[in-house]
Amino acid sequence: MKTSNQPERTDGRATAPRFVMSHLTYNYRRHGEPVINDVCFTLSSGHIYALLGENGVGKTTLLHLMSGLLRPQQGSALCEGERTDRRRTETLGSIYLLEEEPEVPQMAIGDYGRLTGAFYPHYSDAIFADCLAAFSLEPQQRLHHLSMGQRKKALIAFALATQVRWLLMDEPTNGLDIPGKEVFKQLMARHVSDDMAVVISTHLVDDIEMLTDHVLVMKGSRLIVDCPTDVITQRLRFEERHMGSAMADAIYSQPTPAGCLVVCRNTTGEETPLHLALFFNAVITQPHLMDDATQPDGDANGNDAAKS
Amino acid sequence: MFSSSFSIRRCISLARYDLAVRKRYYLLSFLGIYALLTIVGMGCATGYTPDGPDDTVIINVAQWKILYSSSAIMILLFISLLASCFDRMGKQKGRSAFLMLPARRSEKYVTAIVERFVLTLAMLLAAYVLADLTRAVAFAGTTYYSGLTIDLLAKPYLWECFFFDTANGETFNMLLGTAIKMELYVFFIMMGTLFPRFAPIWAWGCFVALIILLGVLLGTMMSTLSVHVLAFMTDWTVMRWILMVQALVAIVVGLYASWRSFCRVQLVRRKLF
Repeated sequence: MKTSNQPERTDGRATAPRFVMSHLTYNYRRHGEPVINDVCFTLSSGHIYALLGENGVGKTTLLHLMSGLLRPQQGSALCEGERTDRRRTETLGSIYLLEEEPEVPQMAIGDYGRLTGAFYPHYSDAIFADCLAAFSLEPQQRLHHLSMGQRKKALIAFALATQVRWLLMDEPTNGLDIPGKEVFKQLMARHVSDDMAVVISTHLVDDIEMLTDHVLVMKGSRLIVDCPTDVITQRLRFEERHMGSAMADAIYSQPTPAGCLVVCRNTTGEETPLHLALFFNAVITQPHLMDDATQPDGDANGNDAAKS
Repeated sequence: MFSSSFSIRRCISLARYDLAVRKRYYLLSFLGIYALLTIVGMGCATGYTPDGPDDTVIINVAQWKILYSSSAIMILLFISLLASCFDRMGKQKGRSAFLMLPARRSEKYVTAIVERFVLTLAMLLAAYVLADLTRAVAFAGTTYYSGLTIDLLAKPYLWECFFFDTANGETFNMLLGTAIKMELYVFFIMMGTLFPRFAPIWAWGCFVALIILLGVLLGTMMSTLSVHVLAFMTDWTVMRWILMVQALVAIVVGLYASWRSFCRVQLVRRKLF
């Protein structure tokens, strides 16, 4: 069961800005299975979304559809009521897509910020400078002279400095060193305002586990999970158990050297820490995991499928 | 700054961004143009050995040969650079970055063409002046013609090559010459938009094919048409109006096709090549 964010409506005031993906379908070829098939979800500002999926499932394609770089064969991506593939200036100014392998022009970082930031109405030099300093980069360094990780850092800094309402990031932490990943988390916490929504597509779930408050999981060209993290942790419990421990209540388990990681129903009603990688593996194996977690006792145990 | 209507400020930002991104490309282009014009100028000057500063016949011939040859090269280079004004659209990474810039399609389109037009002209003229000075310095003290031809820039010849055609000062002929040249430039802009990745090569190939086709067609028509039709077709008064109309139509159609093609390739996967 997918729990979508509903717009907040209070006392008849206008709803929060929304980015609505409605029955998105896209295929790179004329025939065959579409890469994105009838995907529906809604983004609201003030949230950080984790977009997870196996290789080749269509995460990058989905981000391109959302940013208007691709036109869906069916359905629409509506950014604040406007189709993104119409590529209106206002829409482009409210979306920033940080690609996995972005184009890096031959210029200094500072020049890049100054020249490209001019197109974004809320661009902040101060945030850009703060992010560069946190990543130990100098504005006079030339982008094409940097390593891949350093370029990523510079472009992450720019992405945060644009202060766009809808920030889409494709594998932002890929290539970052260990300190860089920590700095990334700090900068996200510091500079992502309540007016912004961030979608992070990544395989490195450990890097965003503490940041994200909403999970989107894709499998087989469809969206199988669209759920806030607090709902996940209210319904499911993630534990590490030693060898020989009771496993009767485990919905899903994953062996570790010390025992196993277990997903079971949360019967206490208290939120527990989310283990995003475990949740992802469980939901990929059992796409109806969240539905089973709300069923009466018995169904969840019957669906137990321990991974060997 | 953020308005939905066409913004000159945004065009200027786009131009500044493009100049900064392609600084190296323009610098290398300038150096290449300079080198080519220097070689052409020196090549044309050899064989012309004035007997002295009073040998105006040889001097005039040498000057005009250098200017004609350089002008021909410059027009070819101008057309080539015009045809690649959208070469960034040829590669996916560059296209994504360009497409995601928050600006109107029309702003991106107009800025790309105008910037390339103006910049190319400036580069060509600057390179010509520099090449002329280089030739003069290199041939100083030799028997080859070492005088400057840049004073000829003061005369309208180069401008005639690129735009106007005085053609005995008749206004209509001047406009006709301009229209035909603009038709050619628009043709190459259109080819560059349709085939951004291999723009100059495709454009040249199509141009050569078009010339050959026109030549074959004309030759066939001349040999098969009746005397009356031939007389009609060779009447310059009629022909220049036909040429003017076809040039204007071709300019409009070419710009429209270029604009539509630019709109079509706004989508990353919607590309011709």
